[in-house]
Amino acid sequence: MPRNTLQASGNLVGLILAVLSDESLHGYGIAREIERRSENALTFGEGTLYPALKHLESQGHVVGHWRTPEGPGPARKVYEITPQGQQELVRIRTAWAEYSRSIDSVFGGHPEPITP
Amino acid sequence: MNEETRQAEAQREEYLANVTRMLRSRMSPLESYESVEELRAHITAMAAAYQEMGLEPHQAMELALQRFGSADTIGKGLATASSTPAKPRFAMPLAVPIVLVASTLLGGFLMKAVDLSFMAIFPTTSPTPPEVDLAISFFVCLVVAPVGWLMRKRPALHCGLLGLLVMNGALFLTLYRTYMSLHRDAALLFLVVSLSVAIFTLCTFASAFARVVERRYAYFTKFTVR
Repeated sequence: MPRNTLQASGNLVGLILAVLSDESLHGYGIAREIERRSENALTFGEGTLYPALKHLESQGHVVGHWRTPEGPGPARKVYEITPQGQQELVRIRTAWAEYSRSIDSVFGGHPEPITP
Repeated sequence: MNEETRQAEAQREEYLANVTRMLRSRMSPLESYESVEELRAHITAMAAAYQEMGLEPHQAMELALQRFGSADTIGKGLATASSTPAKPRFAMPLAVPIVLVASTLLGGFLMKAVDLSFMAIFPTTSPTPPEVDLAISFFVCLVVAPVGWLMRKRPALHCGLLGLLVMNGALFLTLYRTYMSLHRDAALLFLVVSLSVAIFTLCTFASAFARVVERRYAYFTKFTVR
């Protein structure tokens, strides 16, 4: 069965916080981790991560630190989640669980397509 | 570096220049520089990954930029998310007459200083007639500035602006000389006020210059390891 790719853009903030709650990463690393965890099902313009990260930084949910790599390569800004960000993640996860429960109740628990 | 790699890098830099244009009015130079550096590193990493899959450098960069998203969207998103509030719209119309008046008075003082220095070095020389100053500044302003603007050559544009300054100064000096012969005390008061405005203008230029230095310095700053 072909896989449907889903738009991740509406939930980007939650996805970023979920990834950063496990480890601190730079923007490219966050994009690759979202891709890996979703098994390539979620699509989004990777550049849209950066306005979301800037917004999270201004809200105090993440902090960014520039790190110079030990080997060759440019300095990268690595983001880590703050305690405030952890609280926000819990709020988003709770809201998402309620939302998906509502959707499931409308779908009525029929995972297979109904053939005419 | 071969031609394909150069082409790929040019594509990336054109993309980043479009993003930078959106950020100018909403971010400090350092903040804007850091944001663009992040984007550059991400795009470069994406293109490198596509090249490892077997794509040519310019194809890899094209695909990376496509997947990264529109420069306008990302630039606007970064500008909106930035903590710096947008400059108020009314400031622009207010700034124009202030800058014109201040530049006129500053130009007048510059012309007077040049006149006095010339006469001190060559005591027999009479002050440069204002008509000569006007003629020179007209040429610089009206000929060089439009050419510089069309060619987008910054030094030519700066020459044009300097010419405008000199022209304004020459006009100011002519008015001042005429006025002073009639009302000496009023002319002295006028001089004191205009000197204050000229100092204010100098401070404004110095502040703008400091921002340029900050941007240039940030380019060469090493990021510290935490």
